Amino acid sequence: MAQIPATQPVGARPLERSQPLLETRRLTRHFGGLRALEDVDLAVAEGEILGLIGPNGAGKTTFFNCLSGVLKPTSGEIRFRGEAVQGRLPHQLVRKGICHTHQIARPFGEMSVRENVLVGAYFGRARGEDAAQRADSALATTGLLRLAAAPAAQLTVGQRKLLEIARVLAVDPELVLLDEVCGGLNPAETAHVLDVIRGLPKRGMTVIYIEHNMRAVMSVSERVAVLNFGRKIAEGTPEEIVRNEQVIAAYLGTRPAA
Amino acid sequence: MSRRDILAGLVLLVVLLAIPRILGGTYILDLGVLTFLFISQAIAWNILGGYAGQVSFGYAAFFGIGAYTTGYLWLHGWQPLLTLPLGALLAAIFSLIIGLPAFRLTGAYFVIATLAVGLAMRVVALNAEPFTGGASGLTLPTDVPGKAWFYHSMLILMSGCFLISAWVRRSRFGMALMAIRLDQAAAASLGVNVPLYKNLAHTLGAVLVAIGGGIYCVYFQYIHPDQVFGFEISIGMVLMPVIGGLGTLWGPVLGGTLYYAIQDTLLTIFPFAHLLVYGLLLMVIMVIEPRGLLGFARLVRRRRPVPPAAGQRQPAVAPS
Repeated sequence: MAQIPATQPVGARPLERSQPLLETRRLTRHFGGLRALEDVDLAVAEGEILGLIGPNGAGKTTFFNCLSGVLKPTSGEIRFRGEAVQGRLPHQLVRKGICHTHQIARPFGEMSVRENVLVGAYFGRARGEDAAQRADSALATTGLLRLAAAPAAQLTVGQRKLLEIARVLAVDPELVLLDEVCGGLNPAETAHVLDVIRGLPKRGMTVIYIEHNMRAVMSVSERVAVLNFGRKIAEGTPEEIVRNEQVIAAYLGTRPAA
Repeated sequence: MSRRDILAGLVLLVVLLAIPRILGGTYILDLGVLTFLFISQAIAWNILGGYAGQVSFGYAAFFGIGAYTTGYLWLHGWQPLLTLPLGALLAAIFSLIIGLPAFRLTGAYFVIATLAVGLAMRVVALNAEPFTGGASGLTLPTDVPGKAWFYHSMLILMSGCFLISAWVRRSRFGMALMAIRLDQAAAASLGVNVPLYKNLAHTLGAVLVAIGGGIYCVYFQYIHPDQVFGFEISIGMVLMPVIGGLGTLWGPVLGGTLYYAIQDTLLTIFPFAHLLVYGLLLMVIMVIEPRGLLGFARLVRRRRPVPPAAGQRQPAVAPS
């Protein structure tokens, strides 16, 4: 089986057509002796939904934490709309238009659901313009409107994940980093979240999406990148990725010899 | 501020204005001056410590700066009232000098840093004799207004602190502080500039505390580093909101009233008994109801079934 070269863009939509929205060059992050990320080159075009997969500990969340400013990269470059943004703080990147959800949902428990979303609307990229309206629209999109007055602490796991997405919508970013938003959800909730994700490009948002659920990734992503031990081992359309021997070996398990 | 808060505030203000006129005597005036001072400190501290959840044990520094700015300039011929803005300004500058590095720390490390600053300031003041009078303190002029004037000045200061605190709570600023208290990382990920808002809260509290220190200096006509930079001042500002209800609008008011009442009642009879009572109060509050006496009140009220009022925010914690 042909191996997909990691650096070459695949599929019918070449990325070189225009400047990518976000591009990392040799992005590296070490934790002491642990190389959590090593020379990762990745680009995402405007309006794209890019799936990011890899086994546990592959460096997916570290990659997100570098993009969102939670961690400083050890070396390498992050370019957002051509501008080097590595090492900036999270709130500065939110203002530039990069916003992320948390792998384990982090609602403000003592606030109501609506107040949670209002924080995003007030302090996000639009800085409070039409905040109430944007908050309500985000609640409606995620289906949380009927729970708007409930304390966030009382939400179920699935509702908390939806609240993470609603807050990000209220921030109105250009690039959304979704970290396992379907983890722990039942099939109906997963289907709902996937619908919301598919609708994001129509709102002018570009998405990078970390997910363990292969079926979920395959159903929303036009392109998938695979990390393993901190390195990008493959990149391509979902169909190409599931047939890639290296990916199968690293992530899905080694094929029986027979 | 809900309509009930406004009504309660107005009733309280009328009562406080009426008390000295009905009862008369200087004892009630002295009691009022110091109670209002304590309450205004508690309210000021609560903006950073309660709303934003950043517990500082260093606020005596700002009280001392306010008191000493007024005392020093007063001795050099200034009108004491005109020195209050200057004391506030110096406190604001100092709060930024402390806050900019200290807010790089979180949790217990921040608390320890503020503790160190608070303790160090007393020692610095003791040794800065040309400005502070060192261990002999500053003895100040005696031509001051009557006690009624101080009663009303402190009442104005306290009311001002209360209004500012109520405004902060309702504002975008207050929302940022609350988000920081509940989850700093989540707040930052939604665009909240965490260091900026922490510093704003820190400085706002410092300014209010320094103004109180300035008025106190004129009222007492004598200041000493051990007293205005004393650790009791810092710890008092932590205890009052905790006793009353941390991060609430009325908690510091309630806590400040009790705090001074306990101190005033016990201090003269048993010199150290008030510390014992605070200790017991703290233990009881921490174990039974960390939200302070206002939390107790809510617990008691919830025993009876009450229909939730329209527009009223639901309690954050499920009834136990």
